[in-house]
Amino acid sequence: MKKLLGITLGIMTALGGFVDLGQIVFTTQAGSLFGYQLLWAIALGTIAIIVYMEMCGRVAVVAHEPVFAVVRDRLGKRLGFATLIASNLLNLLTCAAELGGIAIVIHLLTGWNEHLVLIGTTLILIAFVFLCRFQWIERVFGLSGLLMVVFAVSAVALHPHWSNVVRGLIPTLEAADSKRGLLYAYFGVGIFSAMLMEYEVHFYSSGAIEEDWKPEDLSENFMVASLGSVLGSLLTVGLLILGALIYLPRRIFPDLLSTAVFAAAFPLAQKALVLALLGTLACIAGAAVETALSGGYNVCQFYDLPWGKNLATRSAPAFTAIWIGMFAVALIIVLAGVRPLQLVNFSIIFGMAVMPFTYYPILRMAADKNIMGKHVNTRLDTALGVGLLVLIILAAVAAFPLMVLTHAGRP
Amino acid sequence: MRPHVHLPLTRLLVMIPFTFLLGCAKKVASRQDVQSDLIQSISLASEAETFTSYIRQGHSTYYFASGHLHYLLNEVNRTTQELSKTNPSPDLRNALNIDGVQLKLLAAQIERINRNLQHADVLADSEQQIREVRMTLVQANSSL
Repeated sequence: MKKLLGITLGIMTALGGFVDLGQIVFTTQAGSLFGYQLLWAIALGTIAIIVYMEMCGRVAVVAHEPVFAVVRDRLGKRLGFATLIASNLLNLLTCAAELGGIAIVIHLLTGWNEHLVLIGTTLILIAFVFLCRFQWIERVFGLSGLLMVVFAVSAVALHPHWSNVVRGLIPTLEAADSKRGLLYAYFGVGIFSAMLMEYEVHFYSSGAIEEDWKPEDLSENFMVASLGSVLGSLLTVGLLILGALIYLPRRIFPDLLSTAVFAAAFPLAQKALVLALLGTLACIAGAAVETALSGGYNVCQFYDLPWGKNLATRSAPAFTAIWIGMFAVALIIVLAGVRPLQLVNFSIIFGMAVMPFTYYPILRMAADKNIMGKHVNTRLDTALGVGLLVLIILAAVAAFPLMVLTHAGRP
Repeated sequence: MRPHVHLPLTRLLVMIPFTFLLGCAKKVASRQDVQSDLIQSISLASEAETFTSYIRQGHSTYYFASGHLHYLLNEVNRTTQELSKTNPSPDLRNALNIDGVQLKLLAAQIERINRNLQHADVLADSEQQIREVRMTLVQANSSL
């Protein structure tokens, strides 16, 4: 019974922590431009995140190797170091975007001054992370993120044609004109990237070690990675449907966070608007914390320094200094006036370019029988991992040119 | 060998500001660029219209309405500013002028709505004005 409760809690936490600012904005924009036509990108991203999240968790449990220790060992010090820099830069940009998003949402909820809110919430988040153990951080943000269900409820309330929705699972090539075709590819890559954001696996793998998972917990690892991601991706489908049903017919391209949130409340009333704002707040605050902590995890794991939220600050000084530093620098970036959605655009595309360097070492490690023993990848795991890695590499190569050619997805 | 190293470096130092200035100069906007600008303006007008109707139905909270309109206004002003930097060919100038004028009208209506969130009659009138702005923009876009 206790185990079942643990699994349920894990799944709910994964579900609540699945969506972040990038996903909210990118998916709603994709729906507003292409209706359900990019649903396949969500499905593909879901399969990919399940496969790699499960692998990361399994490697962490069996080999006691978190992601960046694997990256260092498999890519070598030089390439590993370059990956570390790129990943942490990405974490920093994402953290900055999420902090900016938090300030916007609180401003929309209360009318308080955005700059003061930004500084205040960053300090509160730092204090919260500093004082709480890992399990509490994960559960508070994950469970409160469940309020995002209001997006899925609103999507269902609009009565979409489900047969049309399902048709979106099959990719269709937009050959009508080249610009639309490029936009279609850009949003396809963007959604795929947003679903696979690296910090999610950094945090998940480190969390498995923080929570001291044992090989007998591997079934829990599989359940949390698969069910949590599937349910989380249903929220993402809800966002796509809202974009398709509310914004596409009105020719609105949601370029503001408030526009994306407004979609959830459109078919319902005021209470839904408040719930949507609170759900969004929880999700993006959770993502801000995850990215800041991932910064600390990555550096300490790469250099074999002590790390962990459950260690006393004195025992892991570098880890503490780095995650606090991540929050501080991210705050400065947003205070400098960079718009959060600009950062999101860039971090999603930049994230795609970095992804192969994180996922390839994980795949190799999980398929190494000498290290993984009886928990080594099955043939299906490896085949899926290789196939998805090829897609990740293709998307990584295409990401920047598509960003330039489409002026970052401008319709 | 030093002079050989210096010469390209000097050239490079001279060329960098030139290249920068060329990059900053007004690029001639293509039909597709102008169309893209109009699509963005239509999107902003349509959003303002939809949101005004939502406020009129009493579905928004005061702070959300005020905050969202503020962000929307910033977006409209930013687009207007970007538009003023665009240099179209003569046959596209008219469409771009219409775009600029309509965006200014839209900004004025958004400001008016934000000042009168509790006044149903003002909201209804502004919604109508914004609809006209949107229709004008749609017309300008289809004439391209």
